[in-house]
Amino acid sequence: MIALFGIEGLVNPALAAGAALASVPLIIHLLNRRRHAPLDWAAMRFARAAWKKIRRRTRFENLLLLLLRMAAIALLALALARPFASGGGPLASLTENHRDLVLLIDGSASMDYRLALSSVWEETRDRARELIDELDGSSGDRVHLYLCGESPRLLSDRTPEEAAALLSTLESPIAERFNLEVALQRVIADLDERRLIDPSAVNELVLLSDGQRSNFLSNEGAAAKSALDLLVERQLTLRVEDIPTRATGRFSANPSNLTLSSLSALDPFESRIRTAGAAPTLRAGGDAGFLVTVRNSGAERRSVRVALEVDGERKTAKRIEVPALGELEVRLDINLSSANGSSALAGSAAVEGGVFHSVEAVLESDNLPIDDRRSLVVFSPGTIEVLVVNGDPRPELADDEVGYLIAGLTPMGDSLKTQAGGAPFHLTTYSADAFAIGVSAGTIDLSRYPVVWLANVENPAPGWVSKLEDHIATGGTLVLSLGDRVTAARYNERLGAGLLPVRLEERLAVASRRDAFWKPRIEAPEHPALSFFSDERFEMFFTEVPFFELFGSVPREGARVLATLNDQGPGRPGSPLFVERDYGDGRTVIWTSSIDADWNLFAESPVSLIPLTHEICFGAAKPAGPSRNLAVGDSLSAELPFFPEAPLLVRPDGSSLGIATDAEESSDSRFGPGSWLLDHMAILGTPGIWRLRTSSGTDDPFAVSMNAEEGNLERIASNELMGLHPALVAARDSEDSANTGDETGGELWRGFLLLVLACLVGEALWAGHLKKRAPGGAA
Amino acid sequence: MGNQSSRSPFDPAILDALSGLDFVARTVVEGFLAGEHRSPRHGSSAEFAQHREYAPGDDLRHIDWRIFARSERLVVKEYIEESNFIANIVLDTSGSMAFAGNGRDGEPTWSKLDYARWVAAALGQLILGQRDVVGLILFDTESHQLLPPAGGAPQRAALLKQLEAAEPGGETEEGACLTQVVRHMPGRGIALVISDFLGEVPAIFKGVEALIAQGHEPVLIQVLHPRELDFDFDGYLRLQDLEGSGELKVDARVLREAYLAEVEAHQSELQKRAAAYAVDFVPMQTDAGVDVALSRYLAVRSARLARHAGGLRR
Repeated sequence: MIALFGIEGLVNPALAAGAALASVPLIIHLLNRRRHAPLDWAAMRFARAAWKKIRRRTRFENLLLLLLRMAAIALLALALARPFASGGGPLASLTENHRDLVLLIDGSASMDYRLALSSVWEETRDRARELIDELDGSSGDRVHLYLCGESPRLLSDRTPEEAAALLSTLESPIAERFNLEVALQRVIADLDERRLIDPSAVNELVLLSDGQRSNFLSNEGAAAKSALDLLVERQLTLRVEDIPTRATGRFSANPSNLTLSSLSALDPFESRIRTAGAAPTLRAGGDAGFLVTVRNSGAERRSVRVALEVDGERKTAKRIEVPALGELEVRLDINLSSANGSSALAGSAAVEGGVFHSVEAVLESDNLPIDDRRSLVVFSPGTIEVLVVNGDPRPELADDEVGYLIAGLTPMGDSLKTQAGGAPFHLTTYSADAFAIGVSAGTIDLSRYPVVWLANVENPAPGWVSKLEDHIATGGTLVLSLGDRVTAARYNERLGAGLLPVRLEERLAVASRRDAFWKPRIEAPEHPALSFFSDERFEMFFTEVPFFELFGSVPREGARVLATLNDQGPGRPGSPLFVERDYGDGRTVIWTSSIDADWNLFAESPVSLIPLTHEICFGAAKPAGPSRNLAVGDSLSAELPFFPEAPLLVRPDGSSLGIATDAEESSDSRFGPGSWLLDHMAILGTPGIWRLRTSSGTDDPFAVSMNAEEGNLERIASNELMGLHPALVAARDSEDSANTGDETGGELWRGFLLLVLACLVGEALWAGHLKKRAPGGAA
Repeated sequence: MGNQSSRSPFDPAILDALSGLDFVARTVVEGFLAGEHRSPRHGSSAEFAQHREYAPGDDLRHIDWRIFARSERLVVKEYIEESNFIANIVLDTSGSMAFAGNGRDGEPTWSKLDYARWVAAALGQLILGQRDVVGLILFDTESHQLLPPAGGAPQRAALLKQLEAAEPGGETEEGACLTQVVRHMPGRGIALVISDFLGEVPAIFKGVEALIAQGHEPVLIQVLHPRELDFDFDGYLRLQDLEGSGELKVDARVLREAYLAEVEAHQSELQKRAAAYAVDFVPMQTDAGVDVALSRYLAVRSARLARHAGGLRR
């Protein structure tokens, strides 16, 4: 019956059972009929005659009265059950124009693009206000206002008034990308939830956007296709309003904009520097190169000045010409050393083992300022202490086991000095015996040496091995290079339980050094120690070095083979040459050949030995702690070597933010037992350099970068948008209302209440009329 | 209904409390202004009444020869006869006369038959007190001659006894019964018919016609309960016919209007017919004083008879 009248369903079906109460008047009527008071009567002839005359009319009148009462109750129950009808049903005209506007505002960074007199964001807010003002909260209209970035934020879920109030608090967009898929998934989930409560809700989905092409297109076609399919399943469409086109009256496919799309640091060998640890680590020395990429998403060639600021101080600038719809990489070199040779520049943060610098590339500001800066925190290490244990000392350095190693790690000019002007490495050499005695006696403090290098040490004595294990486990680096004094069995026995990355086997040697040699193969080109050689220009300095002898070995579980020899012939896995394995918080690496010139010619090739030994030792300078280069939306954590008192977070604009997070003692042994972790201090919402200040005077920088793709403002035309997916509808300029004009149904409860009222009024009037017609009838 | 605060000795409520009809009759009649009652029979008594055309069978002694001598027309002289007055009280004892309302506060608690008994007793007392004769006929389904007309104290005692013994019951059809009643009424006289007259009016007046045809002067005394006239009820009622012809479930409030129209039409019809037949129709309600109702009627009747007699003299 309900379907007959075009009612599609009820919001509260259980309350419809109350319609059964409509039988109450009937029951009362029947009970009253049963309760006729008996009366002996004489003038029956008149009573019968009168009854005969009024019987039909009375029955009709009573029936009408009864029906009105029953209808009032039934309709009241139905009204409470909140029926709803479809737009095409016979009751469509009675449905309320109750609107549920799902308003998605593209809150991505590109919305801050300035048009002639205002920004896209300001125009968007105005348009949103217009749409909200069209609604009438008193008639049940609702607004579900979402601010959409990487994830949508539901700002308001109730009345238009609330939505308008919240809208006015949105001062600027967020420095994120707009993720249509995630936004729609959230909206659909909310919508499904609402429809469980209110199946009659008629939802209009409107997206106010700058029409950024990449938001709607993916490699496979329409972005968010699966979510859009879900909209189609629900017979909904997403009406997309292109705000810039609406504001300016014309569509521009490629608005002019320059974006700093990347900023990276280069090492002296022009290779990208490694990024392990909290920040990219620069090589020793004050010179540093940075590579800046500028993209022009406009249709015209642009000339722009690019500047580089370090720790807030402008260091260099360069004017470049960026081609239309293209990009340009530019290298900017600077020297991080302070003029007076002090340990750090103002604005940098000195920590144990080095200095953190904040680097910012800056473009001349254009219509979208937010993508005209890009930040990076880099780490400039100090002098690294290296303890070398010489297993086969000789009077002449050239003959000594570690002579070449000392030569390789010794700075040969200013370029390899640290930022503070010191040498990158400081070597302390002990013979094996002196090392054994010193460690056992406690005169050698291993904790002072981030790197311990055992070169051709014959007998790893248990007395110092255990102390060495403790040291490496707390974050040190142990380098093992072998030689003729090494015995595989003894190494396996003494070091095999922990520090040895491989199980050593018998020595392997070419049959004749005169006729044959082996070549190394790089197995892990991405590894920092080999990254220099991964550049094809320098690869031969590693792979063309002849090897004659080494220890055969089998990597232990968890070991990483970084390089092998081709001793097993072409196409077959060779013997491991360079193997790394973690040990506690530290690591051990083994060079299965010798470090001197006895077993290979590596030591005699400075362009091979120096990069390799530097990179091996350099790993010890890895800055500890959580990453300092983060993306917008990441959570900020920091590790400090002391308890941070009154920590304060300073935003890129200079405003500060108190931190409610309590510092917890860190399990990271890098700073020893007194290391403190401030975990998840804040969600980073603004790109630029953030600083963590404490009452101790520290001012640690953190670089926050925005997704560079946000600067690509290429827009999608409405006709193309319409063709992407059936759920996408591009708004025409002539359409001012969010209402698409489709026949929409809605709830009927108000109409039903009016009918209830009409029934009650009708009943009262009718009953009054009947009573009036029988004056004095009531005794 | 009578005013409770200024009750006369003839208030029905008081009469109901007196219960003994003998006492009731005397109480009521003593209140009347006793007057002579003229016989309606035109005989040869001293007081001339009128002339009329001679009809075969008329006593030749009454021919006015002087008129014959002057105009050669045979006319007879009629005289008002001062004779013994014969009255028959015809009392309806059908089931419908048992109606006494529904016992609501302020309503008469006596039945229409009770009231009719008082009226009959009072009239009997009045008539016998004038040394006239009176008889009693009860009828319900059929008529019963209980007391032939007679006078004197024994008749009075018998009359009251029969009235006290009368019980309501059975159906009645007033018209048919009145036709039967004629059989029990020898000679001519007044037929004081006391009933609720709820039957069909034409049928009632067929009976009345029969009475008139036999030379009786019917006086129709209608006794009704006030509720039968105003139907002042509320709620749902199951009306049970006192004469046993079934029941009717009604909503009193709804029925009232139509009922009153029916009653009004009936009463109006009764009055019209009575006027047409020149029959006295005396409506009474059981909440009204018996003396008031009777004296009003008797006064009107006396005045009318006086006018009538005066007219004849002229």
